[in-house]
Amino acid sequence: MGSSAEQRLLDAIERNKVWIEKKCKFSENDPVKRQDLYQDIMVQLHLSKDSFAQKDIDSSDAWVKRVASNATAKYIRNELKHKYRPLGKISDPIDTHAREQARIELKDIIDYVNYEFSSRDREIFHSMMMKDKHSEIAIIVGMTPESVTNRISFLRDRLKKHFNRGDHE
Amino acid sequence: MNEKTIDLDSILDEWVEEVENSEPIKEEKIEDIVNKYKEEQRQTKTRMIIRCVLAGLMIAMFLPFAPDLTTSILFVLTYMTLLFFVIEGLVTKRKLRLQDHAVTVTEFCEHRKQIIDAGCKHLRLGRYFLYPLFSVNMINCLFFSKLPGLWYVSLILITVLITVLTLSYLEKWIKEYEKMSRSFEV
Repeated sequence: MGSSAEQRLLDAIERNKVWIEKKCKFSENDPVKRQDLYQDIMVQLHLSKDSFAQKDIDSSDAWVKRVASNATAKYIRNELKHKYRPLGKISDPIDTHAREQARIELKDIIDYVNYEFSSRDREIFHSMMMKDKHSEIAIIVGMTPESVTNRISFLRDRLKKHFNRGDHE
Repeated sequence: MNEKTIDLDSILDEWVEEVENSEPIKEEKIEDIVNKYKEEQRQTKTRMIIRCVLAGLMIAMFLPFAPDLTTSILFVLTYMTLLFFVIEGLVTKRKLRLQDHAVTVTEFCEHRKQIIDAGCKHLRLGRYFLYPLFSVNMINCLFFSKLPGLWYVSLILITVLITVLTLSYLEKWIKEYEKMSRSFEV
């Protein structure tokens, strides 16, 4: 690998460390597992350095973000999808009193995003939470910025609809 | 109508706040992380080589006691078949490890599922070869061995142990890939 390409990648990793850390935090609540995820992302970035040098890369930042996103998607699918638990306990309370008592917890939203969203949707949602620009998200997920905007609004509606389901009488 | 709606924005703000206030990830040098990873890989590789060599040695040890040439050939054939499928399994693992991560997340998941499915298919194919081969070997050991007394019992025990261990390892591997394949379904 050419040293200039390696240096460019290392610089990009350094620049995006905060972004990667945030990504880990949005994807995993457990601090120990979060650390593992962070390490996995770093390993994948290291392993990607050869193909980084071979390809003509326009944006090293986008490269780093894509690698980090895919490592996260892999982690979530491997770790969480195995432990799938049916959702909807809060959304389907039979007892009216229990329904009023039920509080939509942040954890339920995080679980719903992790278990029910597709990898691309989860990626878009997490990026939105991280206040990334729609044009940046578009590069990472391979969509147009307009489609990203539409998707975000769709995902927000989906969340609202899911967590309000069963509350009508 | 009693409508209860959630305030999604405030919950999401809570999420952002929680992330921002959470303890920072322990800063580690990339070189240290990579070295740790390389060491783990090296250990896994060494363990696998040791297992294959030990299995080979055991086969070689029992070859002189085989009653005829056919049994000897069968022993070697079983070992070679096992080795072939182990190598194929390791190739799949390597492909998964070195998969290109710098693509869109949809492409990444689709490609990963393809690799997992191909690996799983291959290991399932291994069942059709390894089960009959191990069964025949076991029958050979039970009925046709020339070994006397205690040696005969040891041979049976070792053969049963190797067969059970190998086949349960194969099944475990297949189950692991099936689980992975399910989790990468879009």
